[in-house]
Amino acid sequence: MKLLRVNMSAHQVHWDAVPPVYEQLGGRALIARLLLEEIPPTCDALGPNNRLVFSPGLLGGGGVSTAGRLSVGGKSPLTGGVKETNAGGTAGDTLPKFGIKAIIIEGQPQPDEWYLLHITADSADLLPANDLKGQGTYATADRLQERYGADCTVICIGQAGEYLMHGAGIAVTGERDQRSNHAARGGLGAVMGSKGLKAIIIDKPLGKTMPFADAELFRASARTFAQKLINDPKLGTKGSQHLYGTASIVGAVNEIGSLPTRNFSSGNFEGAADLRGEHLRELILAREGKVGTRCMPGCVIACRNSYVDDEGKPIVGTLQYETIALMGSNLGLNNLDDVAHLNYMCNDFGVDTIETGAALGIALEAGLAKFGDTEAILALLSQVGEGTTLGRVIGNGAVITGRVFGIRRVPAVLGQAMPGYDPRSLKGNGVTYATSPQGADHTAGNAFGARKEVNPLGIEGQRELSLKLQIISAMLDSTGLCLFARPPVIADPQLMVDMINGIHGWGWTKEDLDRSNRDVLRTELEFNRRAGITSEDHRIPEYMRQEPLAPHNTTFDVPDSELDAVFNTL
Amino acid sequence: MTVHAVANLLGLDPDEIGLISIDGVQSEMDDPVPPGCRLCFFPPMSGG
Repeated sequence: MKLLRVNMSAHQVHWDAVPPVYEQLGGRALIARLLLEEIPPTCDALGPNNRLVFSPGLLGGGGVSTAGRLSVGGKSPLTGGVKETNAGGTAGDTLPKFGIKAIIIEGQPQPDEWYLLHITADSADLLPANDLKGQGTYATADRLQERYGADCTVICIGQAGEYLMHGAGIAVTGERDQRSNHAARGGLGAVMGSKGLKAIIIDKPLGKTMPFADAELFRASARTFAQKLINDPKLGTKGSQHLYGTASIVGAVNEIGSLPTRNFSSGNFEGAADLRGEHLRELILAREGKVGTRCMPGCVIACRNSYVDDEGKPIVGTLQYETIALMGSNLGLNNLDDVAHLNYMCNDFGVDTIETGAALGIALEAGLAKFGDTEAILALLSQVGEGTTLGRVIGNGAVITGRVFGIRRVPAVLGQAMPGYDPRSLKGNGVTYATSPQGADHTAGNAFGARKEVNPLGIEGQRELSLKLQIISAMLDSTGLCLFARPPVIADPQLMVDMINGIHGWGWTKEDLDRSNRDVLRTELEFNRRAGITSEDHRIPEYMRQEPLAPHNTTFDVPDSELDAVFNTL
Repeated sequence: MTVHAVANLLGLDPDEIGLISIDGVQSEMDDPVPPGCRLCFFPPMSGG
């Protein structure tokens, strides 16, 4: 394996051997270590000293079901700390087949110079891309696939990344004409924009395969893993995840009073039935759209959908829970068509639907439009892509929008908007938001559905639960596994160990795996400490400690002492 | 009457029940079901 380093200041690419310190790391783990080793933690996230890292997980390229996610990382302009965000698509499977452990983007070109990076089986070239300036992610991907072949992978930013909006994400194409995979969180699209990098094109790795240290061990463990996914009641062909996608939880999250509604002012939305996964599925099938498709090659869960309008014309693929929560109930919208249109626009401009949905919720609370007013909300969002002054405010996320319009009720932690679980009625997620080095990010440790262990409305046990979930998430994000693929490897960590050893031959034990997972968090915490982030920067907003949330009328009341003790046993 | 008893009456397969709520509060199969409450059963699911 090798590292592909791209110096945007000097317009040079070069290949490095993987130093020992990075050898047994992938995805989020590699990003954390690399940032700590190579960048000044106090650097400007949008300046030349930050680095943008693309890294597949340790299982990437091996053909393990659901293990093809691509991690993207750097210092976040939103949080000021370490950030890893990941996406499906084909990049996470392709890069390891070319022997690439990571792409590291360094330096900065002259202002308004745009480039694309073209990676083939035996070369990498940095090429001018000023002709792509101002293009959305869909047009960028289409044009580059016309130029480089329909089967290449395109990683790109839209207008939001070019404008250096802190809510900007990075789009990754998938199999055939699939779009809409986004490494959305933390503003890393702005970091890509700050590097003058519009896109990365990766050729299809024809005839390329990963070498296996122990092919028999790998095949047996990967097969068992896939079978366990298929047998899981949540994930198999009769499971809610497959049938209804991530939207399967809309009804349940609403019922337990945690669905963000009208700028997080309630946990119940009266129109939630129209946003439920069951309704989503019925609608798509009636219109001859697609459900049960996959975002990564070989995924057996297949929770993706292609949402179409009433004439069967595709609007967006895939419409997911977080977007439905932040751009549906959070904006007072109960029409999936409206949410799908907003989702398409966010994808095209290249902004995170969570950050932008939260920012729009704040803008509505400020009186820029009424909750539920579809046309007005669409008009507000259009301005993000146009780069108007108002659009730049909203595109810079929830905190900036709150500040500009004098709104105190800003659902954000460490500068990053909360996802679709209000922490006042799902306190385990609040503990994760308030302690994760990633800021308010459900993928860092989602406590939804963990009732058997801890009462979501209580305080007791939340600290331990969050830490456990954060360690598991670190493992998933470092191996390239989808969040939903966790049940088999939680039940049997040896399965994960065998798959890693089958590919890499490191002779890991379960203890090695656990140490590696914990080291991810330790490294990230150390980076954030050196960046000057303190526990005070992580607090849940004061209003959420004061204003009870309907329907349970609970506040976030986990004491600071409990939050500060989360990592005591790391 | 417990949640489990109600599930039996409704003919629900316990393996197909993932999340239960009583009046919006997450509950378990052995919890009592108060008269007049709203009881919801959801299939196994996970957040993401």
